[in-house]
This record gives sequence, C-alpha cells and structure tokens, in this order.
Amino acid sequence: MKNKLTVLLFILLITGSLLANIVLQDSAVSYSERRKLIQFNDVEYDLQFSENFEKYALDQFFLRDYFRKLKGLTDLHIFGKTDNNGLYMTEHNVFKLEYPLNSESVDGMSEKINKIYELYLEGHKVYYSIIPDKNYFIKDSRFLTMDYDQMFKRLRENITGDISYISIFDSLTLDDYYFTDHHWKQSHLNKVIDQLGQFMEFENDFDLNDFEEKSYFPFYGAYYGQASINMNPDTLVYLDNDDISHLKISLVEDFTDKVIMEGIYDESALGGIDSYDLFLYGSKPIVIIENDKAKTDRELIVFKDSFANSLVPLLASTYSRITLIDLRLVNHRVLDQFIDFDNQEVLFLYSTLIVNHSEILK
Amino acid sequence: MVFSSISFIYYFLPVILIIYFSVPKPLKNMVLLVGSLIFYAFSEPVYVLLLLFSSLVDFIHGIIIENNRGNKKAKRALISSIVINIALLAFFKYSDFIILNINTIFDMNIHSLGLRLPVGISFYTFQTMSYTIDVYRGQAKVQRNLLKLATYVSLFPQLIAGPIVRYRDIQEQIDSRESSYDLFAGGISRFVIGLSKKVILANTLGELSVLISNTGSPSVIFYWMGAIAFTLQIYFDFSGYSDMAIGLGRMFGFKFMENFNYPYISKSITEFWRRWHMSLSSWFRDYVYIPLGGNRGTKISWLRNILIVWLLTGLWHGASWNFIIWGLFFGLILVLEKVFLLKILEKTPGVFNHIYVIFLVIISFVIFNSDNLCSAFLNLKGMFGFLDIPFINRETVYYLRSYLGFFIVAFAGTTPMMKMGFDRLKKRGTWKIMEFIQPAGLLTLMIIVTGYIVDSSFNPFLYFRF
Repeated sequence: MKNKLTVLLFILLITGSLLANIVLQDSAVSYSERRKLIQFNDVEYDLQFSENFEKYALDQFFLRDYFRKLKGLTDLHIFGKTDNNGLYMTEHNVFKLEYPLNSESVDGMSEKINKIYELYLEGHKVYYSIIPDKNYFIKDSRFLTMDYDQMFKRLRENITGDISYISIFDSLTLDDYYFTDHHWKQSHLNKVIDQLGQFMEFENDFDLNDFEEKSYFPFYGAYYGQASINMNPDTLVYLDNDDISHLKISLVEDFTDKVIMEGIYDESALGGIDSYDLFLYGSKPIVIIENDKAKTDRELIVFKDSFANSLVPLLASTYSRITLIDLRLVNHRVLDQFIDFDNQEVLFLYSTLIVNHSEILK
Repeated sequence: MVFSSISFIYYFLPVILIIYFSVPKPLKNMVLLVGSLIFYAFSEPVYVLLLLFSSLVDFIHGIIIENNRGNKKAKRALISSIVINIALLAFFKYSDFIILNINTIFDMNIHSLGLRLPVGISFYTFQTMSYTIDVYRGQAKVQRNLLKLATYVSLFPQLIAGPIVRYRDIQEQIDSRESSYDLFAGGISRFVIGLSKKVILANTLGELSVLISNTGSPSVIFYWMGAIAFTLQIYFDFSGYSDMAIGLGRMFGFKFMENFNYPYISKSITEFWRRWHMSLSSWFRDYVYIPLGGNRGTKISWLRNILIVWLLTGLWHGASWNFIIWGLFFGLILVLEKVFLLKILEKTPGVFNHIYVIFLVIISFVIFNSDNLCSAFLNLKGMFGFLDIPFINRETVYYLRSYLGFFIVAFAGTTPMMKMGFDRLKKRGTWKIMEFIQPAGLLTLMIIVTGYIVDSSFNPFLYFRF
C-alpha cells in the first residue's frame, strides 16, 4: 500500500508537471523579479543547449512564484534563516541586505563626480546629497548594515571640487519609505525639500494640502516578489494638482529626438513590472521638466537615480527648467552633446545603494 | 544534465520512465541505452562519441581476452585496453596540468590544449577498465553483445558521478532484471532523499562557503565556518548524488553498490575511507593496491604501495597539486595509523577519536577546496589565527545565526540518527502510520526541493532600477 502510494504520487507529480509545463503558455515577464523571462524560441541549439534549456525550464516552470515562495518560507521558518535571497522582514519593514561597504565603489562615485565637475561644472553652484537606504534606519544590531559614516567620510575626503554636501539623513525616517519597496514616498518629502531649500537657497512652499493625493493599490514593490514571503502590498501615493499638470516634460530617449510627454506621471506603468515607473516614466537617460510658471528663471541639473523621479517635480515651482540625467543610461563623456552647461545649479542626488554600486554609472 | 535540474526531473525522467515501462522486456536495454546517450549528449553533444568509443574499445578487448584466454595475446589485449583508457583520461584530464608543470620546471612555453573535461570521464573509464581487468581475471563473463556493454558503460544513473559500478556486479541485471513496486518505491525514496541532500543542504552550505571565501571581513571563526560548511557541502553533494544514482538504478531494476556509509562518524581515518566514496577506494584497492603487492613484502614496498594509491586517488579527483597533496595527506595519515596511531586510538575515548577524524577531514577539505596551494596555506593560516584578523566579528555572528538551522540539520544528517528514529518507530508498531506519512512526506520533500531548484534561477533585475 505504502509503496504503491509512493509510486503513484511521484509519477503524478513528475508527469503532471511535465504536462503542465508543456501545455501552459509561457509567461513573458516575471513581475516579482521585474525581468523578462526566457521564451522557448530564445533557446539556441548550440553546444550550450543544455544550459540554455535549463534556464528556460527554470524560468517557465509552472507556478514558479509559488514554488519560490515555498522555498522562502522553508528557509525562514523551518531552517530559521535570517534572510531569503538577502531580503528580510521585521515588524516595521522589509529590507534588503546591503553589506558590506564597497570602498572601491564609494571612491568610484567620488571619482565620477570629480570628472563631471572638471568636464562641465566649474563655475556652477554644485551640491551633492545622499539618500539613505532603508537599512540605515535599522536599530537592531543583529542585522548587518554597512558603515555609513565611513561612506560619507570617504566621499567628503575624495570629492575635490567646489561642491557642497547637503545632508538629508535627519530629514527621513523609515516611515518615509514603502514597506515592500526600496523607494521613498513622494508625499513624505517635505523635510527633504526643506533641507535642500536651505542649502540651495530656495523657499520651500511644499504643502501637502495643495495637492490631490492620488493612490494606486496594490503596489507590489521590488522587495515584494524578491522576498517570496507573505506580506501586504503597499498603496502607491502620488501628488497632483494644476501646477503639476502644467509642467512640460521632454524625454531624450534615443539621444536624437526629444519626445514631449503629457504630464509627469505615466499612469500606464501602474500595475506593470515596476509601478514606481509612474514617476517621470521610469529610468530614462535625460528628462527635462520645464515650468513657465516657475517663481524664478533658475535652472537645475540633477544627476540622479530613480529616487529623484518622485522628488524633482516638487522642485519645479522654483526652477523654470530642470534637467535630470541618469548616468546608468548615458555616458558622462557625451553629455555636452545634449546639454548646454551654462551656469545652471547642479545637484548630484544618489541613494547609498548606488554609491555602493557605482560601477553601474557610465 | 544533472539530476538536480528541472530538465532532468520534470522532462527527461518522466519521459524515459513512461517509455521504459511501456516497451516489452527485450527492448528495455535499448531504451536505456538510447536514453542514456540522449542524457549524456544533452550536456556533451560531441563527447558522446568518446563514450561510445570507450565502450567499443573495451567490448573488442574483452572478446580478444576471452578468445585468447591463457596465452600472451590476452595479456597484451589487457595492457592495450588499460593504456587506451588511461591515455584517454590523461589526454582530456591531465594534459594541461602536465604542460603547465613542464613549462614551470623547464622554463618552456608550450601552449595548453584548453580541452573541456568530458563529463563523467573519470567514472566511466574506471568502469570500463574494471570490465576488461575482471574479464582477464575471470571474475566477469565477457559480454558479446555491444548493446549490452554500451548500456552498462553509459547507464545514465551512474554515468556522471558514480558510484563506480563494476560490470561483474551488475552483469546479471543487464541480462535480466525485475521491477516491482517495492523496488521502485525504494528507488523513489532514495532519489528524493539524495535530491534533498544535494539541493537543500549541499547547495545552501555551498552558497555560504562561497560567501565566506569572498568576504571582505574575515575572522578566525568565519574561516572555520567556511571550512565546516564546505566539509558538509561536499558530503551532502557527493553522497546525495550517489543516493540519487542508487535510487534511479532501483527504479529501473538495478542494485548498485553503496558509496557512503556515514563517514563523519568514523573513529579513525582508516575507518573514514572505508565509509567515504567506497566504490573508488575499493576500486583502487582491487585494481592498484593489491596488484602492487598490498601489504605483502617489505615495509618499504608496503609504504610505497600506500603512497602510490593515495597519490593516484588525489590525482583522480582533479588535475592540480592541491588534489595530489590532499591524497598524499591521507596516505601519510593512513600510514601513521597503520604503524602506531590505530593502537593509540583504540585506547582513546570515542569522542576524542571523532574530534581527531573530523579535524583532519576539515583540514583535508580546506586543501581540496582551495584554488591552489598558496590559497590553501592562506586559509589554514586564517583558521589558526596567523592572519591579522579578529577572532569573531558581526558578519560572522550574522551568518552563523542565519545558517545555524542548516548546520544543525546537516550535522544530524551526517549521523544515522534519523534512520535509527525510523527503525525505532517500526519496532514500536507505529509503523502503520508511516504507510501514509512516508509517501506524503516524500511528496512534500519533492515539492520543497522543486521550490529550491526553481528559486536558484532567482535573478532580480534590481540594480538598474534603483
């Protein structure tokens, strides 16, 4: 009886899975991992066929996300592992292990800023500010966090030009970040704008009451799928009003033409691979925000990562033109082909996650 | 294709099982041969010809030996077969190592061949050699059916990672074997346990071992953790593969020899090698050590025989000096044990014997796991506090806490504790509950393992999106 049942269950499992994998249609993307999945047509018939096919089979295994969740739960609850794929949850938030401090990367960041300063920015008013990742706020010493003091020390020692540092660490708390994502909440940035305003000499007129708080639920942040553990999705909040709607947005996507967009929010991104792409259409090499109703004719250039996408539109009441540059997508050596560096104010605004992985900046 | 892959478990295995059990008996070997060749060609589309060549060579030599039994031609055929097999192994596995050493010693600049090692060549050449030697010795019947011999050589359950199954042990099963629910279910049980050992324990401990070797914040305890993690990883990896091979063999009606028998509970290194990779140690004993004279003759010749065997054992594991040193390390300890240590160990409390064995085994695997001798030396210095590093640090504590559950399960898994637990249940009469629990448990384990395999492809596209 026992043996017959063992054989029956085993055969049912392997043949059932075989049939399911053959019959079920391949998925195009994994929303939880935020990437395209390998399709059967992508499998090349060469000497690496077995590896290619295995990658395909892994990507397209039926109920893939449930199996991954099962692994995560086994790791965390049966074996008592502290993290699953580097992600761990406390009662307060979900975190991704970012450890240790990569000194070479921090120095690479300084070097990048210095090079850009030397190439384009002498004579400009230049600032840099670092956005803390969520790990900075962990008070529990059981978890590994990088040495943030050492990061700032290295940055300060190695950034050589006339560039002022604006600390926003005290302007943020863990509540200012999404639970399932690494990004901050747009509606919680008042103190950050205030701090930037004090250094960059503009008046902070941000008032949450002036905006309509639009929301999207469920927002499955980057950590939601990666952690593969049970958690509630977030509600993504974005701020809108007539002033925001009035902003003119141009994307310089293929380095030749400017594409003018309607509005700063790409609502078609909601529910897509990354709903945070709502802000300024996600990662684009160069984005220009123009505001003919701005209080001044000052212009700003922001070298940034995706955190800035939700913040910068809120600065448009001061600046008539803001140019956002994503150095992950455009090489710093060719910037003068697209941007006329002409005494604009400049802000380098990067999260500690990028500072610790600056090798991805071009 | 490896057993712990989706391609194998959920594509290849169900298909070959369905075909195998659908065809009449006379076609079963043909199904196994074709299936095994497809299995091998999936990873080695070119070297599958080498596998067939190796089978053909030993098929022909076996017949020549049998047809000329008792005269010199038989001996010449045996020597020819051994030379061809060793030449194949030497060419594909050791040529670059030999060239590297010639270049170093004679300050020459011979270009390396850069050949990719054919999967499983170390296993199947030893199997084919054992066939011709056994035919020569009259310990195995000659096989006059090429299909059957090729089925033995290429049999996918044991093709790529052993155990080194000798032809004489399964010659009757090649001709005729029975299948039953009991044997098949036993095979499933063994396969799932082996798969779990490999995927859950070995892979996770391997991940920790790699993480530790790449750390920027080492500590003395971290070095030890890495060494222990690798010692456990290699056991669960290798014994897991052997379990899977034995289990798959049973599904198809074969009974392969055991390859591991809880080696980490040994009380001496001599005992350890009776329990670790038993098919390899018995191969070297029967085909190298005893033909060299074994422990007969003078002490010097006996010492020489042991060191030759362990030099070859090290070399069999890989073409690198650290494998040779690893083999000789064990050879030396075995000599010392045979000369005087075993007598001392017999009088020592068991716990000290275990510590002695585990300590030496950990040290040996540090040598085994290092890229080269310098790195082995560096790792040993780290373990014994000869590097300027702290005894323990935050990173060590974090990973120790995080992987503690895996360590505990792994430690328990290196002992017969769990098996004894099952046996006790049987004796108490509660075994009837197991009628349902065991199949359900195996199914659950299989599903969890699938989760681990699927998650191994976890590849978030995150850095780009910060």
